Amino acid sequence: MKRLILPALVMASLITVARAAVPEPSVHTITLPVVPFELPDAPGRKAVMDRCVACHTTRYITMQPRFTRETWTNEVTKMKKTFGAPVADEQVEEIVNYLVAVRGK
Amino acid sequence: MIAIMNRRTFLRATLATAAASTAGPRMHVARADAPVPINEPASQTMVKFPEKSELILLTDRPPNLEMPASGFVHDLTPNEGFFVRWHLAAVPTTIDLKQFRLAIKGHVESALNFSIDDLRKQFEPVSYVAVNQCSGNSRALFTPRVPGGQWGNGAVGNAKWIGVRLKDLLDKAKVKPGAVDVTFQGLDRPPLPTIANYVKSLPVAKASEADIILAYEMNGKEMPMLNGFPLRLIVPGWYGTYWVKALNEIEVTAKPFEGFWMAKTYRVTKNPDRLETPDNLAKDMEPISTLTVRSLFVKPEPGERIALDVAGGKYEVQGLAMDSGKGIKKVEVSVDKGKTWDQAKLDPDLGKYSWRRWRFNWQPQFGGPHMLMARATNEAGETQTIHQWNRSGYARNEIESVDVTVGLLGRQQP
Repeated sequence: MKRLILPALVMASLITVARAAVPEPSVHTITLPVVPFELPDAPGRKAVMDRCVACHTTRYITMQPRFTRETWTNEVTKMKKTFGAPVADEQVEEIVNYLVAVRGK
Repeated sequence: MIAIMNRRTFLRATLATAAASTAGPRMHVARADAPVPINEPASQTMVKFPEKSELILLTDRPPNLEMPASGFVHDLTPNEGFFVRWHLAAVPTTIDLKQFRLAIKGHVESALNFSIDDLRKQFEPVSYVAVNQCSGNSRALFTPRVPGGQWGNGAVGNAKWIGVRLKDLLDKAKVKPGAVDVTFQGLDRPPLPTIANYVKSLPVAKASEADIILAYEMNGKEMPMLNGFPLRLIVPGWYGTYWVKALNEIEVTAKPFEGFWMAKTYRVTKNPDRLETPDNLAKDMEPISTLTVRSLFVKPEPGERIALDVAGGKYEVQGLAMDSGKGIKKVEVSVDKGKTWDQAKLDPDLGKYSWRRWRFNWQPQFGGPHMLMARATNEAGETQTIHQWNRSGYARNEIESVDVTVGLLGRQQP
């Protein structure tokens, strides 16, 4: 009997392992791709990378048309005050300078 | 002058020539990792996300993907071709249906939880076709340009949604007297604690309308994860901002809901066409709600060269019209810059919340450049404006025009 039981136990444990490796049919999973992207170089780029990237890709910047300094200042202020972006008062100008450099008019 | 969207044309042209010269919101198709030029319009990048076909990349984090113009040939947009719009970077990527529960709580007699299976088994299934359009669809067409996600016309799709009535769930939970709003939250989360959760609300009377459903299927299939699997709020006739994805929390409130995504964003001027001017911004604002009536060209595409045998030869112009569910009454086409308008023929109605295809037999009387314009009117008499602008680029419904060139081949028709 022992000879029969042992292989059966081994088989049972193997089946358990195999089951654990295959996701449950109730589980639905995707893996989001990261699309490579390099933000253009201009003064203030580091501040943008430090302060904006936590919430969103900087593609948000490069997809914009050209805007005036006033419009960009309003945008950064909106991100900071309305949306809650982690931007200190003294960083606003540096970020605006960058935005004007890459998408200004 | 009417602003003209010619992205479709330059997409096609530049795919063929890999060069860029046309004016427009996006200039050329480029490799995703190509260097981004300073002070030039961004490249258009096509990407393939899980469960999706190739779509136009706006952003990958959070995922925002636009349907290319080729998607408009379908009356029902295929699930994989449907546009994607998320606000917060932490989007759900794994959902276990054994664990997933929709909670209804707040100002109700009994707080309840439902699995997707419960919803399927305990409530009558309802289905209809409805167009889902992002508030900011076509933002890139506004003149002057406005900041925000620079969508062309493809942040819209039409699908058959299958699910259960929100009203049936609210009735089961028994809304208490004095209820004001109903709030909706999905599984997406902000990446920082200072950023508000994405919560939307409807007045309790609106939420109790029989047409509002919680969909567990889209076009007869499970929804793609990026379109709201496993459950999505469907508010037909209202902009997509209310169609909360991966919905798992409904709360009935006893006082007005003033969350960030209602009180601070997605706000529009109170006039029906959502009009203001840069010099005279409106002060009286309200949350965006119903779709403005609009019409889009499907064929010809902007910049298209149409070859005809002779002057007066026939060309079928095609487009799509949509509104808030009052129903498209007519679509008119003008080939003389708006001086005269002729009625297009409407395809069969797929339901009052669906978009409606229209066709117009055009017989150009001369070769050379032409401008076509299309204007839709709904059963309530709402129609489109010749120029529309608002600061956020919402609810676009300016009369669309398309510039084309007719070439006459000089052959006599048999």
